[in-house]
Amino acid sequence: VPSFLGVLKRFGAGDDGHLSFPEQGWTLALDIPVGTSPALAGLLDDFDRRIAECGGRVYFAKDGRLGPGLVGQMYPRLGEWAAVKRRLDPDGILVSDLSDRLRLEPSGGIGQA
Amino acid sequence: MIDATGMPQTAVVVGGSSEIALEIVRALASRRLDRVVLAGRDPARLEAAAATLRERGVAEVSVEMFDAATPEAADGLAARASAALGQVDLCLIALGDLGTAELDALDSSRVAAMMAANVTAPAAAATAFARVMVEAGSGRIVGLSSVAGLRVRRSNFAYGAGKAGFDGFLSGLGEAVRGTGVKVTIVRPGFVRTKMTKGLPDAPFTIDPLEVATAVVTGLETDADIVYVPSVLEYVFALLRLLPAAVWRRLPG
Repeated sequence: VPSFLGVLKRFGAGDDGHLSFPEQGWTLALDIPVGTSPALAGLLDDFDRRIAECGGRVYFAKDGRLGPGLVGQMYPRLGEWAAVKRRLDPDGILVSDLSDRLRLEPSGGIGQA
Repeated sequence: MIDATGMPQTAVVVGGSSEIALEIVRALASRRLDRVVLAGRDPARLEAAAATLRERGVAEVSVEMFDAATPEAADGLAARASAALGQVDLCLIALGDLGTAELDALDSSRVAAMMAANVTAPAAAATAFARVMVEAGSGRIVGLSSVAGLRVRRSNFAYGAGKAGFDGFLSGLGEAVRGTGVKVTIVRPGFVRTKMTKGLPDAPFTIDPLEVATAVVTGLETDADIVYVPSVLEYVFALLRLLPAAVWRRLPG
């Protein structure tokens, strides 16, 4: 898998956001071109599982292929976020391709609007 | 939605009890697919297919009626499926009728029914879903064509002619939706061992539905316009199409 840009950062303590990405430790971002290797998707799914197993997470803002399965494990405060979302947006009007892909809405992320 | 690696989360299968289509759906379900609509004409077989998908962990599977004898029902099907799924990421078209190539059995109503199953209804379904997808700004149509349509031959000419029509239609449809966020992929398998080909002797390069499914998933991942299964058939048919008719006629199978 070719990757022409890699960024390794060390984070300090995380903050209070329900879906905040940073926490104590290291983060590695890699730009990876899609559509080149049929094995890529499976490889990245395997990375997701390993990252979740050791208490890490995928950064939503940099990723375009994480599935819904591991989101709750990666972001343990997802339930609190969903409760706020339900209160502020009871009809589920605020949706996006991201919320759709990660099935963040209880109805499955399909907007009513 | 379709993720960055080309994997859909929702799909409609037109020809919902097709063994090849179900194998493709199972392969996609092991990735991201979790909502499926199976459309076809036999409720019992569709329900049985739906049950096997639910066993495989597909969260939502529903069944819709669609009969190739009434291609104009495709618009209603696309509307209902789109409402059920929210957004149709993938429409997989797997209709086909090998029928007969014997003149004794091939009366005009049989010709009409075979053309309906192999080209008219599949083309109507592809168009109906393309229109819904263009409206949504994204989607992928995958149509099961056949190498039988690349050069029509005596032994299955009514089927092959229908597939040739559908194949040509899909390549034009693919051009018509360019730039809209919608893509069309044509799948051209060789001889696949299924209930449709049961009892026929294997042809050269015979494959199982699983091999078609694997090739289609790879095709989605690599954004392919055309998928040959097995891939060598692309080169085999490039040659076969050039053969003089006198030689072509003498080839076995």
